[in-house]
Order: sequence, then C-alpha cells, then structure tokens
Amino acid sequence: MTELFENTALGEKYYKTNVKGLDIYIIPKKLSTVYASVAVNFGSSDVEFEREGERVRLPAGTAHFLEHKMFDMPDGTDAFEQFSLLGANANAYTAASRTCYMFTCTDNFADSLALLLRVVKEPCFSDASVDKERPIITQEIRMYMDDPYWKMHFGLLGALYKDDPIKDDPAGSEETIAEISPELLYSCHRAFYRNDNMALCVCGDVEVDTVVSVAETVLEKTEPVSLTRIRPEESPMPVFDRAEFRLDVGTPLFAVGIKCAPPADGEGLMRADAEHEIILQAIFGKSGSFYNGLYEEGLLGDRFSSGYSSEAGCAHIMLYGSSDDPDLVYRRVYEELCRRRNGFLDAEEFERAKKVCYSAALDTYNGTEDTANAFIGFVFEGGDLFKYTDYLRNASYEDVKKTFMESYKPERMAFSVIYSKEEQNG
Amino acid sequence: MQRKDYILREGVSLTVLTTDKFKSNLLIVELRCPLRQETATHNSLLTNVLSRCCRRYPTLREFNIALEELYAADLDAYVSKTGEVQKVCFKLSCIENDYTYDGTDVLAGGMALLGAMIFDPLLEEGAFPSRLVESEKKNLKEEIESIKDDKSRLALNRCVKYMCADEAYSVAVGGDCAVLETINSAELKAAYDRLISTAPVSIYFVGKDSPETVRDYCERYLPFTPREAELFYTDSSVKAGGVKRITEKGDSIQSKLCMGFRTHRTVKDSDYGALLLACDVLGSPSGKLFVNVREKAGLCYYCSPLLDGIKGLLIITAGIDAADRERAESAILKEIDEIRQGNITENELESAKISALTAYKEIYDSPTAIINWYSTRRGMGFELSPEEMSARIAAVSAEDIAAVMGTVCPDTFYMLGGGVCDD
Repeated sequence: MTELFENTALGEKYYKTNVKGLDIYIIPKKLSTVYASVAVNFGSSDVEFEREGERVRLPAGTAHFLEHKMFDMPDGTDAFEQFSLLGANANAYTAASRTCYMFTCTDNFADSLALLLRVVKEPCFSDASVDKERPIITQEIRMYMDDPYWKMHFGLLGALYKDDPIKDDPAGSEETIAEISPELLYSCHRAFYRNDNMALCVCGDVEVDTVVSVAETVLEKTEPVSLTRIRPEESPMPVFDRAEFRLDVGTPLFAVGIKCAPPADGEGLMRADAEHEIILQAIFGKSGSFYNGLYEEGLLGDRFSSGYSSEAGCAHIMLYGSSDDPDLVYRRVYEELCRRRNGFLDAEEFERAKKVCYSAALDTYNGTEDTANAFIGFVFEGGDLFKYTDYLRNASYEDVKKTFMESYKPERMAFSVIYSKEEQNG
Repeated sequence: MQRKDYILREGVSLTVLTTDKFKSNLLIVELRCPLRQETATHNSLLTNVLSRCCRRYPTLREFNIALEELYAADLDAYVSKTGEVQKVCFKLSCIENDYTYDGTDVLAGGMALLGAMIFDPLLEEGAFPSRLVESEKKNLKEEIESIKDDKSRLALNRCVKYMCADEAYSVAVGGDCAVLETINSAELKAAYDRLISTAPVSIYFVGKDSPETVRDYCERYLPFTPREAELFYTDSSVKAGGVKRITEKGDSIQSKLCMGFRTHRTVKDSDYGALLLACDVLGSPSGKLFVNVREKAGLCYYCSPLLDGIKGLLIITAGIDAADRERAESAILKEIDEIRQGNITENELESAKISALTAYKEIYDSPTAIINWYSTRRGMGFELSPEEMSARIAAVSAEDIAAVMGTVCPDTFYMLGGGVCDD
C-alpha cells in the first residue's frame, strides 16, 4: 500500500510504500537530477550487540570497511564502473548511526536504482580483496588525521564521552582494521543488511511505480534477525573538560561542547532539533549580542558556527570557531550561558531566530540531494522532515526556554582546542 | 528556464534566468578586474569591509538583524578567481516571497540592502573608518593564513606558485599578508572608487520574478555608471620548460602530491571537449587513476585531476606516503601515457561522455552552477550553452582524446612532504 504525505504550505509531498520489508520513500521534484539513497541502520557506533543470544564485539571501523567492500560485485566487476556506464554518480558514507549508499543521475534511473539495490544486497568478499583495501583505508585515516577540524571534533567527543563509540573515528584505526576478515564482513552483512533494517529514499522527477517495480524485481525477502544493540552506560557529565592539541594551523581553532540527554523518540527528536536550532540562532547567531560583542573585540571572526547533533543515542551541542584567544572565548560562552539562565531571550530575538531557522529549513528543499539526505536523517529515528518546519514555526517560547534550562548546563561543557605550533598557550 | 539579457549601461549587463524550480532567488553582481599583485589584496579587503556594515546599518549586528528580518537573506561579498581575472562579487540569496508567513517582500528588501552594501558604505571624513579597516585587516589575515589548515589546498597553491611563478595566475586571489600590512583606509577608499566606477559589471539573476521586475530593481538599487566593457585576457600559451620537481617539508602525516601539466587548451577551444573527457577517463570514480593507482597499487585513497579550462592547466593530486612518491608519479604518468597511446576502452569513452552530458544537465538544478557557466564564458568573450557543449562532447572520439592528451606537457611536480619524509 502506498501512502501520500503532504505539506501544502511548502508545496511538497512524498509517498511511502514497502516492498518485501524495505521502507521506500519517494519525494517527487521537477529537477533534472534524481537522487537515490539506501540507508542501512548500521553505523560506526554499532560495535557491540547481542545476536540470537550471542554477544558480538566488532573492531572499530567495521561498518566503514564493509561500505568500501560492498562495491565489489559477485561477477568480479566494480560497481562504480557500472554506475559510470549508466551515467550515474555513485558514492557512500558511514556515519555513527547508519551507512548510506547513493547515486545521482539524469538518465537511466531505473537501471541505476536496480544496480544500487544489488550493491547492498550482494556481498562478495575474499581474503585478497579485504587485504587490498587496508592500505587504501589507511591513507583515508591518515588524510583525516591531518585535518585540524577533524582532530578538534573528535577531541571534543573524547572529552564528552567516556566509552561510547561515537568518540572514535568511523574508519577505525590502522590496528583495528587489521582485525577485519571476510567472515566478519559476511556476518555483519547478514545481521544488518536486511530489508527491514534499511530504507530507500528517492527524490526527483520519477514515478512511484518505477521505483516499486525495480524494488520488486531486485529485492529478495530477508529473514528477520533478533538483534539487540549494546551501548555503554554514559554519565550525563563530560569525562574531562578540556582537550588540547598542537598542529600547524593559522589561527587557533576551538570547539565548545555541551552534553545533552538524547531525545526519547522521533517526535522528541524533531522538537529537540527545532528548539535547539532556535536557541543557538538566538544566542550565538550572527545577529546576536554574543557574536557581535566578541567580533567587535576582535575575539571572533567569520569562522564561528553552532549546531545540535543527536545521533546513535548521543546528543550534544557544539560551537566551533577560531580565535587568537580560545580560552577567553570559552569563558565568555560559559558566562553567556549563565547570564541567559536569567531572562533567556527577548521576544524579538526569539521571533527573529525562528525566521532564520525556517529559512534554513526551506533551503533544504532546493535540491534533490539535500532534500533526500535531510529526510533520511529522520527516518530511523521515527521523525518526519516534512513536519520539521511546523515544529519550528509552532515552537513556543516557554517550551524553548525549558529546553534551554534543561540542556545548556554550564557544568556539562567541555572544550577542545587546536593551538598553532608556533604559538604558546592562548 | 527563460533567459533575457539586458545592457543596462555601457559595460553593465544583466542576465535574468527565470525559473520556478527553486524556493529561493539568487542574484550575483560581478565586477571584473585583472588579477594583479598590486590590487588583489585591496579588492579582497574591500569585500570584507563592505559586507560588514553600511551607512544605514553601521554595525555588523544591525546589518545582520536587518538581513535576518528578511527571512535570513544571505548577503555576501567575496573575491573569486577565473584564470587571471579577479572577480569581486556581491551576492544576494533570499527565499521566494511566496514562502514568507507574514507577507514580507523579501526580494525588494534584499535588493535595497545589496544596493546599500555596494553604493552606500559607512564612511568617516571621506574614507572607511580606520577602526573598521584595521579590524577587517586582522580578519583577512586570519583568513589568508587559514590555508595552512587544509594541507591539500596548501599543496595545490604551492604547486601553482612554483609552476606559474612569473604569471599573474600565481597571485593569491584572497590577498597577500605583506600587501595587507601596508593598506590604510584612504588608500582602500581610492581602490573602492576605482573599482565601482571602472570595473566591467555583469549581473545575474536566477529565480521566479519576471525579467522586467529584476531589471527595475537593478535600475533602482544598483546605479552603476557607464564604463568600458573591457575583457581581460588570461595567458594560456605559456610553454612548459621540462619537469621541475619540488619537495617542501610540510607538517602533516600524509604527503600531498601535485603533478602540474600545461594543456594549452581553454573552454573556448574546439577540442576542449576531448580534454575534458581525457580527464574523466583518468579521474572518474571508475577511472584509470582509481582502478590502477588506488585499487591495484593501493598507493592512495584519493587521486584526482583538476582541470583549469581558462588558464590551461591540469593538476593531478594525491595523498600518499612520502616514500611512495616515485611509485605514485610513475603510476600516474603511466595512465596518462595509456591515454596518449589510445588505450581507451569503449566503456571508458562511453562513461566519460555520459558523465559529461549528465553534468551539463545538472547545471540547471543549481542556480550557482547556471550563473558560473554563463559568467565564465562571458568573461572570455564568447557564448556557448551547456546544450551546445553537449553536442561537441557527443562527437568526440577516442583518437581525439589520445591526440589532445599527446599535447599535454608536464611542468611542475610538487610534493608537500609529510610524516616520514626525510628532506
């Protein structure tokens, strides 16, 4: 059965259907580019689980390694080559909560979709192919190690989380990927790449029937697996409040994090997303007194941004930027949060922030890729992108204030800073 | 998508591309200048100063509040480089009026602010306030120095610096710290006056509003005076004089290799399509570099060609272990040689073509891409639509690709050494 969901204010709609256990979402859009993505509910944070009574612990980087190897096809070809011949541009990524396989195309949509579904359906690993992948992934890991933003980001996560795998590089390390074998990859594929543990999202000028008929042809029924993900218990407090590195950067970079309680369900996630975006925009946005005060003082420049993230059972707020004196910025953030606990926002700040967040949300509908990716971000959590703008517009001052008081606790702050090698501390 | 061109005044053009595909409008004002060491930094600093405030909104905060009231209209000023031309750009992006929930005329408000940013800056005694200039000098310095944060980009820049040492192309479009030091507010104001009154102007709009509406807004808010409709030339004829091999010690784990070649071809040339396909045969996700240098030799995670179709450069970049430099260089050169020999399979040719044709279709899905397409070609004094280019691509043969690759000359092989580099 196909259901239709509409947001008339935005002039947008989507269809939801299910083929052999796989949830399929189709967002029609009159653009030349069609974007399709299969999201597997298996990410870099899924390192420990219980399957049919047996406890399994995976080496860090397994989901990402599997992502790399899924493009080897059983007939010995490389899926990238076949996508290229169809004119489709394929890619994949691994995040904490999911692995996504996607392509964009302007022609040959049905064939490209069939190929994408075969990529996730048909594993083919050997000792040789797994060995061959290790030096490539090693170079990928090293590439990120040279990225100061990456280092700062994971430095902060390491300060916020004690044992949760969210603090680790999704690609693992050179040591952990050495433990990965074809057998391990096969068993992960069996456990997670099941129709009922994945979702397909297509955005573009396509017919629902085309998508359904391709899915019916390619997909085979998969058996449900009883599986419980195990996550370490985390304290609501950070592990330590400061991580510090020295790298060859121009100006010192910093990230401030605040650990939050993760939302309970999809509705909670949409509400939390909307409310945090409004709070961050109002307090730390480019029109706010905080940013402008520090800008006038020369403590902040253009590079300053903020965001709320809730993924794989972990939620936190982050502020990023660069400054000659990151420690002073950190102190100012602390003071600002304390100050805002009395008085919070004025009505103008609140309404203006809502407008800005609404405009940003609207922007995600301008391209097929942005729309589908934003949509997928909510799927496994039980949320719905199409309702998100309503949550933004309907957010009440009192609710938003409550979220602020509960989540922006100065004692849950941590700090990650990258100093330039040439300079001394701050 | 409907296109309408206007000449508003001599040297001031407007192109309106009307479409209802997007929920926002995009308008870009481009002022073109030759890329020169003496002026590049001034122009770059100007974009920082102008985008910070204006007479009506004399602080960044007031300016930003005004923009946010317009549903977070995005107003920006920046410089960009196409070949040896520096473009000083002013951009307005705002949501389509239909999607506001209180009836605000976002486009009208945004155009007024854009006009204020360009024509009505905050001045004190006829110059930019020096406090403002000094503060933006600090911000620009930080921006220039932040190139160190991205070693791949740094390596690419260093490679170009050596390769085009005596050419305007090597001038840093964002500015140079040494020049920046010397700029004062009076000098900056003189640079501003020169820029606004003499640089050729192209305005582009992509959105739902009618060409007449957009033209009226431009007449009202963007009162550019007539100026010479000059074109600035980029020298793509420089010959390579044998391979220069350069290694610099960087501070990174991975080494960044950049192999620079001269193609002597620009987007204007009839065989540019063949060169573009040659790059795709090399660098597509299933290209020769991916299959052989990454998958078979396991030398890197990324290895990709960058083609500058204005200056006539091809630079292949890869992240490698320093110890693998020779192996990586020969593996990459081998693939280039394969193309020269005409060893291009039917599949490779087919997928390169379809990838180029797809890219041309996708241009119409991105307002920025549409504007870039027209702007690049106009700046070189010719017109060519994505459809016309597609027709050229369709006619390219494997022999054409081999022939054009045969004329590509190696120039500078640069490596920013990391980790275990012994130099």
